[in-house]
Amino acid sequence: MKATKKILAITLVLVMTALCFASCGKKNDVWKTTEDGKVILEIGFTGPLTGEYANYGISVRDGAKLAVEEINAKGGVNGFELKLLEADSGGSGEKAVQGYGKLIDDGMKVSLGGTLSGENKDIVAAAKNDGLLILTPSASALDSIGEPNAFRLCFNDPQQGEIAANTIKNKNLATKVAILYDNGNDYCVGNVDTFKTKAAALGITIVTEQTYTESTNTDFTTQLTAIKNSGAELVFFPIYAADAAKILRQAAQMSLDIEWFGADGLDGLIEKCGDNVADAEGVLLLTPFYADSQEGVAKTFVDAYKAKYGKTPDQFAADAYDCIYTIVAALTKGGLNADNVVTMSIEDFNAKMIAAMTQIEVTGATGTMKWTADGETVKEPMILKIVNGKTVVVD
Amino acid sequence: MVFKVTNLIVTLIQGLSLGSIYALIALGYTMVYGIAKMLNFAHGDVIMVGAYMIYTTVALGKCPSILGIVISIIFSALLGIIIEFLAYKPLRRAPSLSVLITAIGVSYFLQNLALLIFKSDPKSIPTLFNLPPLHIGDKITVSGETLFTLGITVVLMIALTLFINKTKLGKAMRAVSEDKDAAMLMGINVNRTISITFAIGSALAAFASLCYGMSYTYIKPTTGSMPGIKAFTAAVFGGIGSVPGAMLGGIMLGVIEKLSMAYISTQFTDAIVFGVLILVLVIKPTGLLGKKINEKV
Amino acid sequence: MGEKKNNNLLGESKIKKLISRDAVTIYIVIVFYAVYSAMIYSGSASRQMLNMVITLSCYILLSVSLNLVVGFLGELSLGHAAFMSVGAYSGSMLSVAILEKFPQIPLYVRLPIAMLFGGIIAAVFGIIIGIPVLRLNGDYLAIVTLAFGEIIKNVIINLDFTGGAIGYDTEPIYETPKNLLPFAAVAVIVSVILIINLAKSKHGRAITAVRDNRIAADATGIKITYYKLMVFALAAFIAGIAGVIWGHSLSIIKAAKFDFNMSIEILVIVVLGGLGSVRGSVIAAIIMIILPEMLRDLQDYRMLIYSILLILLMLFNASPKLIAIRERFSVKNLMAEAKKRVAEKKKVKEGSANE
Repeated sequence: MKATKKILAITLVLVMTALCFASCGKKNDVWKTTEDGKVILEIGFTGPLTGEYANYGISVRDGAKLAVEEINAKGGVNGFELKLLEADSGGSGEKAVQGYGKLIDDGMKVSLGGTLSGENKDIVAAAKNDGLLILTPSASALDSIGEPNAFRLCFNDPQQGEIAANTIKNKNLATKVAILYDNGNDYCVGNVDTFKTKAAALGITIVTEQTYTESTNTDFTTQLTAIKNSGAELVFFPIYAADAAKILRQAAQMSLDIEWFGADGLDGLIEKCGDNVADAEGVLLLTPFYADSQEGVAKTFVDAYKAKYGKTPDQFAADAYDCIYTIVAALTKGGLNADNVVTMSIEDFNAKMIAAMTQIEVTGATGTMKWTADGETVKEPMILKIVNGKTVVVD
Repeated sequence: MVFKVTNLIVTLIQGLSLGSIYALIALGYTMVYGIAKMLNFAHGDVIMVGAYMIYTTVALGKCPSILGIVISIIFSALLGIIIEFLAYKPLRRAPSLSVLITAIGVSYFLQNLALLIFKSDPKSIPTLFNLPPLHIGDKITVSGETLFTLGITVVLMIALTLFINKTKLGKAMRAVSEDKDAAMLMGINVNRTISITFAIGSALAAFASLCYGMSYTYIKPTTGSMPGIKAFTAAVFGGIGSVPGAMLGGIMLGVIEKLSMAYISTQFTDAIVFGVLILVLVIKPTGLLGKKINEKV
Repeated sequence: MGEKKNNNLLGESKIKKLISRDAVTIYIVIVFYAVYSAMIYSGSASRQMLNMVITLSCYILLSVSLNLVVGFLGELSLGHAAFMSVGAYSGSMLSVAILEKFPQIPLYVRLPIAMLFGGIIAAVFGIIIGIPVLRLNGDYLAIVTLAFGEIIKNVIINLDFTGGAIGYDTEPIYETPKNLLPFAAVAVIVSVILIINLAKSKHGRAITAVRDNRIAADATGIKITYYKLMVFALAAFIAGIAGVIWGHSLSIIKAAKFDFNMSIEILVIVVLGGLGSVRGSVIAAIIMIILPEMLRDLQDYRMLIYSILLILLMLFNASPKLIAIRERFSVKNLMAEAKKRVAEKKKVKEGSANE
């Protein structure tokens, strides 16, 4: 008798916890409204807010938040008030998918996908049956989008590698090139793979290829010594600014004198160099955004961001900022407003948003952009050079 | 690659410098292990805290470099004592695995606290001293930071060896690590000795963070974890619990890492370093200088 | 009335045996999956819950299998995630190959084949890693398992056919949590039953004998080599199966995911659940996966709170002083004390009445 009671008790407890857990998640009403009668449009962000990659996630969140607040301060758009939902992924795919689930439970209508390529790919797969618009600010690996509802705002990695090789050839920067990158990072590997193929086709010789990983990204002296001995004229290093700053510091300590050429991951390099900004002197980088810009949306964005957060925005923040304005542009282009969305099905809403994505042209902090049907963005990269601790455009 | 003697010398010096940092951290692991029989997984994060203290005092507080370094070392030592008091002392007689998990909890705590305070974008340590590079011939250049690291490590190691062998406190530490109960009967204050061990280990970690910060200049909340794991490996490599073992293990690990990078493959460095480690342990199951454990029936 | 009759029919002792501690563990797992599946397939589960179910199942598999090594065999392993990684890669590759060559083979045939294959490859690695184990003890062994984990990660990242750093594309074999849940549930239930029965068997007693006193076990003729390798292989096999399920639940797998930190995460679950306790591992896995999800609303403070909870849990669980206090105030003791007091009062009363 005692044992039967025990079993009953355990069953009851399990069922109760499960029900409690379910009841706090499941919500049904599709469109919520604010007190003053505006319809809330929930935009969901998933990205690393903790862990190794938290700086990227936090930048994306802050950039998006800034745009959302700007738009709401102006009274919203088409009768909508924007609301940014956030879910931490800690940088791992399965937590990103769980976070995405939480955002769907909370009523997300448009997703900013994942911040990192891997997590974005996982979210896109998990979202197959939801059909909502996914616009990732920063997932650059080629196959991290690939469903009709997924778009990205940044360049993809192969595009960058190709542009880099073309630039080196066209500007006669070097004929003998060394490559230095993190071979445990998909962004770097994606860049380097196309760079190598393109460079070979253009007659650029790659004299040495040096790599490191996350676990060996403190001491680069061996790689730098090898580059020094290889006779290279230029180092192509499509890596992130934090590693680049370390590398440039150690290169300076070794008195290594060589040209440096990087991709958009180098954005924010001057900040990262801190006192040792002289290390970065003369570095060339390809990027659609730079914080020293004195014109257009980029300047208004940088000023507003500095005023709000007290620091210079990086490209992740700029991409996220542009994402929000792109979503707004798609809303307008699709003819969606607070009155008609409540009468249409959510499938219709999603279809209209996705259809609008390929018809809009948006000028944002990262340039003027259009989108193709396979989700890629079309925009012009800029070649920048660091001169006297400032980024300037090279023609 | 053409073999050149100068390249080899440069690589060896780089390896020694990296190995010195590993050794300083490994000493903290091994001393705590010897005396408290626990793996202090939060030790790597003490390095991170030490580095952030230097950053806070020198870069934000505009303190003179020396003052900043001293504050960082004292703060780290205190942190070591506090961690021991709050998290490990209540578990003194608990199974060692429970203490290990608590240490992991402390490690998560320090990392996430740093993440909240300093955010995760890397912070740059300002130049603390202007050290001129040393030129030997016209092919070999050794940076001032490397020389500084080597010098400070040698000094600390000699000081630590003298401390353990010559002073009363050092003898008390050895006694506690041999037999806690017997030491207590001899009138040694075991709790105080353990606290002091944590303080010394953490202060050494602060020195490691100083060298780390000067050579590699960038810190973030996860800065401590990789050097922590490598140093833990080094401590076991040399024979955990053995102070000369940790010194030797750390330096060897650094040199092997650099040599395999320079002459075999930068891509497979991790695999080579850990492969050598496994090989050594299979041949010598208690590490290079570890004590042979007598099996009792 | 009916109850009493039953009792007589089966006999008191038989019922007790049927509902023994182990049976309760199996029962908990089955009810857990029954309730979870019912909610998911009836559509009353939230998306967060749905998306969590596969991760949860994989972590249950990982922690019960690591418990075999750490709890039953008594060897500290810091590289358990590596077995999962081997299973995830090999199983997913086979699954992709089958899908390409024989697309007509349905999921319920393809996935079990992949799971078996991934498990076996992982078990082979388990035996390879088990060999140094024969010579090493304690922390030296721990560091070797850690080293193997790092080597496997490093090699996978630098091979071409594994997709290298970009990761292995498992998009073609991606399955929704709803499709995967039956396989995961069966894998968990079978593994739990298998491990519980192993622990109770002659082999299980031999393994615990090796843990408690190796030399004495050796002297009584227990084949230490055989048992150590068997435990490592079995633990790796189960972790490999978890890896295959994991590979099908995401659209990309990366070797960097299965690192030291993940191994530590699994170890935390095992220790928290209690060494050698299968039920503890299952419950701790559920708590440790659900807890961070429940803490999501704390946003940036989430992981900080999580780490504090972890420290407090450990202190509460393992501190000798706190254990003493807890035992003193446990319901059982308080009840016993109350009974004692009542009895004493009665005695006193009776005494005074007698007077």
